[in-house]
Amino acid sequence: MTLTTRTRTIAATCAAVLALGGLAACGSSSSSSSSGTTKPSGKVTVTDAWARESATATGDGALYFTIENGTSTDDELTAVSVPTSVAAEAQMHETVSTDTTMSGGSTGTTAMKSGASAGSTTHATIGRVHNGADDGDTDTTMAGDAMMSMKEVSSVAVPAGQTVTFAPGGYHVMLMGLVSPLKTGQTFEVTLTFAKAGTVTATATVRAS
Amino acid sequence: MRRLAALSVSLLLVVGAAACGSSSGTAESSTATTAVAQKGYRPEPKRKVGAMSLPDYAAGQQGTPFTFKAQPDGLLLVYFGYLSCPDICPLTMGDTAAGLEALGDEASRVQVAFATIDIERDQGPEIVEYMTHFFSPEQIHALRAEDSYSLNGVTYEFGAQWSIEPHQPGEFYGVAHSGTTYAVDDKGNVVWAWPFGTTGDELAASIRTLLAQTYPTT
Repeated sequence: MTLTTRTRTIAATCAAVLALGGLAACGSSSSSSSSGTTKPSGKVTVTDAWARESATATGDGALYFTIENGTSTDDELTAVSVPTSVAAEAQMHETVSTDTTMSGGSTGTTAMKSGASAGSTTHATIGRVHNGADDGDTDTTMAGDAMMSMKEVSSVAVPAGQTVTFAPGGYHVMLMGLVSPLKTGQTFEVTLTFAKAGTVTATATVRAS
Repeated sequence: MRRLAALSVSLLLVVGAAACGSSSGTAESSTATTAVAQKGYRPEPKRKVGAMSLPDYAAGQQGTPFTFKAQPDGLLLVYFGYLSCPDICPLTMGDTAAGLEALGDEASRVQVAFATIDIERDQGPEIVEYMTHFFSPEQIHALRAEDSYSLNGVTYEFGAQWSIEPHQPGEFYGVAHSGTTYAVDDKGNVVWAWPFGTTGDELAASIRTLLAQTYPTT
């Protein structure tokens, strides 16, 4: 019974891979173990690397790209770096939607109407969703105001024959401590480190969106 | 009653579209008075925000109190974000700017307020700089509360949530916030709320409908 599912998955993977550039990885994808004698038919490539133009003179940036794993081996993106002339640090982040609590649980979940500041050194404040208490109705629209937050991730899986996209609203690389604001047209080198494929470099271009 | 039914229909359509993994094409532009499936929802019960104000640094360098009401016969779009937000805030502001552009002349009836929820890091003049990156100066309000108490009073009435990760001074901290954009009419009622991920075209179609529904005589 799992055969059907698996066949379908492989077929879908083939279709996706074919659609994404006609890589010939499908034929060998049934075997997940790669021995030294089986030559992978492709490689891991990084395309469409871009960073968003800075809106202010200071601050952080976001970097996006598309990874295609054209090999028959599952891989993993473990680090992304940019020259220190661009940003002090690059971190892989995922934008996630959380209903009422912050990811990581580091914030108290006690909602209160009066914003509370803790002591003078530690700050913990949380806003509160409207509960419709003013006329006794139950507010069924709470989910619409779900919170978004960013979660740092240490690695991102890039399965054999698959494409993983870092795009607005999902995975992104946060460029922390930009040395100077990113301007449209500017380019810089990005280095991606994979567990198996090693390092892959790409040139990122700054654009508005 | 009628409004509730219409709301349900539009919610169902939005949910249906979301289930298909597609975020585009839910709001089809047609004659403004017919019921159009819009992305987002009309908050019920009514949320009234027109009695509140926050310092607006686009109106004055020291922060001139700005009341949460649109210009007469207009709409005020309100977003609660923060400047060091690298991903969803600039994405939403970019989409909003594209939406206003798609509106053409009607964009003159719409203004956009960005209220920071990160009052520790964000200063008023920076919010002005940030907003003028996306919009023309007459379209914007750059809001920064003086303290978290007054900020929370405002976000509570909008139905927006936010939270700041506990941290030591100078330490990096995470921020979580509702990615919602709110539309407020000239009486200070929240007439619509769009979720994160609403495209410029969806926003423009929605705003046309809202302007026609909210001000039927104009």
